[in-house]
Amino acid sequence: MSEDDNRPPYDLGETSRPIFELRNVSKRFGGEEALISVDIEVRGGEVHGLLGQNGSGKSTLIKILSGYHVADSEAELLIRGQPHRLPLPATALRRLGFSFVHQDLGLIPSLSVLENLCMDQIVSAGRRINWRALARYAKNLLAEFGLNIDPKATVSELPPWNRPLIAVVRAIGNMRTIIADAPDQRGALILDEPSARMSQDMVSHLHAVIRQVADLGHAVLLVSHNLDEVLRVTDRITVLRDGRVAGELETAVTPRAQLVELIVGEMRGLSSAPISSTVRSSPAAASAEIQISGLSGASVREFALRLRRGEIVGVTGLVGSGFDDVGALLFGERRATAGMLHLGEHAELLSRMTPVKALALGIALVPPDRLSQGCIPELTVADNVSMPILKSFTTAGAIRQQKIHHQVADWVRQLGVKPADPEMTVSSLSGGNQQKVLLAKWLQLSLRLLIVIEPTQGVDVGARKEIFSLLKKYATQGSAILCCSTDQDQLAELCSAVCIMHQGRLAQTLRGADINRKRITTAVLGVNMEDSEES
Amino acid sequence: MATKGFWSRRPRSPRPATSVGARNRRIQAFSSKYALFAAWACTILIFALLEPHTFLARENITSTLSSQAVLVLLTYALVVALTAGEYDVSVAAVLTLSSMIIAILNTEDHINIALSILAALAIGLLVGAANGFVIVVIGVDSIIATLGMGSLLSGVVLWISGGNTLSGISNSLVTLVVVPHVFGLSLSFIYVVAATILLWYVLSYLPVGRRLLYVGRSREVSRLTGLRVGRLRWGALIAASFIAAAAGVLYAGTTGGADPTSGLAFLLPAFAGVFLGATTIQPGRFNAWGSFAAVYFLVTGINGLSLIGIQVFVQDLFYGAALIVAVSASMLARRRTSAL
Repeated sequence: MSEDDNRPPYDLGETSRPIFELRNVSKRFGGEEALISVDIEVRGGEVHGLLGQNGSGKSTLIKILSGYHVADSEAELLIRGQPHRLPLPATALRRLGFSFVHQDLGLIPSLSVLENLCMDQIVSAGRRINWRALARYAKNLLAEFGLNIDPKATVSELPPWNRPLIAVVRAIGNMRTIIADAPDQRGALILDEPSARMSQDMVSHLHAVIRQVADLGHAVLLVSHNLDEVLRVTDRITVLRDGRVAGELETAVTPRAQLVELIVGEMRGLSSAPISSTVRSSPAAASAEIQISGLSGASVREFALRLRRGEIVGVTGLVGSGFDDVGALLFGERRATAGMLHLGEHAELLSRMTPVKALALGIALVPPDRLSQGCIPELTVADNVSMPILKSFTTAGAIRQQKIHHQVADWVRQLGVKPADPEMTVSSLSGGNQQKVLLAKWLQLSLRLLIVIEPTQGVDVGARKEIFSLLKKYATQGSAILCCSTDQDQLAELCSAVCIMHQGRLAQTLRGADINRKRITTAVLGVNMEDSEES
Repeated sequence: MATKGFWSRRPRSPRPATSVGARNRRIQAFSSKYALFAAWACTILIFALLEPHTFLARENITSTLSSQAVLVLLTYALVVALTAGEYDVSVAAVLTLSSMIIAILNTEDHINIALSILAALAIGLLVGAANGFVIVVIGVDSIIATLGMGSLLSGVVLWISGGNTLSGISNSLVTLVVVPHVFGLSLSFIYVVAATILLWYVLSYLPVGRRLLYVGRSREVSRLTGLRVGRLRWGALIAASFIAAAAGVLYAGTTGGADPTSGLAFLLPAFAGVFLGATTIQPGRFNAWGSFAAVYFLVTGINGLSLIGIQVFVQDLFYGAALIVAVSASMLARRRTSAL
């Protein structure tokens, strides 16, 4: 465990040697190609960035490497030049010195830092756990990477931004413990969006740790869609776009604009790109109906926005920028610390908002997770759709099941739910139809503001189009819609304005001609458009 | 059962020609819905053949139906709590406390029987409110909170009774509960049928019943749909304790007295009844008529076994096994409805 300290200085001769290579990786999900013949090579001593937009295939590639998905047959994996058959079982990967930090981190919050750091050792301990040795190991590991954390503290008591660092340090420790028997061997550390929910100073600490590991000769693969991070910390970058490798670059000689171009694609002719021909709400509509000001809470700071009736406004940003929290805070799903909401003449303190109050004011939230937050999957479509308007189905206080049945049947047929059978359980429908049921639950009300978070997540292309037209039609009936999403195509298709969030703050609002996929993407990545057009 | 017409009604609107799959599904749904009744019929048939003279005797039937009224009512306390997603294992202790309070107030303190009953019901409300406070406000898991409450109340019962059995409760209560009335059935059975109709109506037809179901199935979805989740859970716990206290009133009337421990033995049969009840009539849901049928199915079995001379321990065996089988079956029923 502490042998590492005594190692001879790292032999630079090994640097250029790849630790692992994936070749010709393709993957189909149903009819859709998630990855098309992707090659990636990660060398010892380098931090390799894997960049790309949502849906570009980054996580699929990582999941193929970790053995979660099975790649199509012709894919190859070489580890230190030796071919291995995919998928490699988790234990085999670990023995070869691979260590993963997935997005969910894999920490157990109710256990101590020590127990989390030494989980592998505890699991594989023989007869007796040597707590003293483990305590020393944990202390040294934390000290080596400059983490001022008490190993006896419970993880849930630590501030959440510390957690990714603990997971990363644990992965480093595991990787080194496994390859300790062969001192010249180097391992591979794979980090999937580790910095998404970290504060700025913690992110720079994480980068220092990553650098330190690479300098010891190990390979680091950093998955991110944060451009700044990748430019700051990596040596080389592989960019994925629509399932293909769009480019492989040396970070030091790559201008930012070139990187953006690779991520977004077809940058040239951007300024003349036609605006999506979507019909937008007429600007002639009356004064701002809904006004949000000074909204703070969760990861959001001082957010402000005006919406008109019939308008669809998007809120977007990187994961962790707080774009999704805006919706949750407005509805009172999470409690805001400050903020005012003006609905016409009516003013409401957002720090006192609750879902009950929000609904009374005509605000509803369509949550991103349809099966655990949106619908009760084991109940029927009728049960779920009638949920918010149960009272309207009563005669002299008693529910009339027939009335629910007929009204819901009509309604889901109008929304194109297939099959339009109100007595089916929601869980037996396809993802797209479940999402339509969830929308049906709220679109039957005439709301002032409908908040939708990732409304087409995991929905097939056809249902996605239908959901877009449902939302547009609903807006034309006089409601405002706030769409919190990372799906740039969706935002470009739906919205008349898009708010870009950076680290909890509103960085920029795009309107009119700026509403297209590329502008939104570049704004989210924090690139100044003028710069990139000049280059 | 009275619910059959309502729940099996098909939509009136013309439907596309249903596939064979849909038809099979409906047959399967029907058979799983009424499997309990088939088992019940088999039980009756077997014992009728084995003990034709005693088992089918009118006295045996009426006394079986009447004597289990207390258990049926206690089962309804659990139906309400479980529908809202809360385990209440203190109901049997509430029942015991309720009957003991009536006995003490009426026989020792010579308080009017009506006032004694009101006091017992009020204590039921109070215990429910306390359970609700610990579970909803403080956030203790309901099974732990009510386990503690049950033990606490048993202690209170032993304390106030000095561990003694009391008898001699006012005859007016005894008359109102056990005196045979219609076709030899006691009034207690009539009360329980009325309670079944009431519970069925509340759970199936009143918005509050539907809301309890929503909250029991998903607090998160309910919260985001604007239901007052805390209030509903609290209300369900109060209602459960109240029904348990009412079962205690019936129990005091049935026995004409109260003893500090025998009521506690109702807990397991009540759980067996409610979970077995959730496999029938409305499979996957805790429901009134299903529980009613389940309790009497279990009682039929025990009655028959004791008539053919099997010893007392058979009760424990039977109820314990029924609970495990019922929970497994309702688990499978739920999985099936969600897979349909």
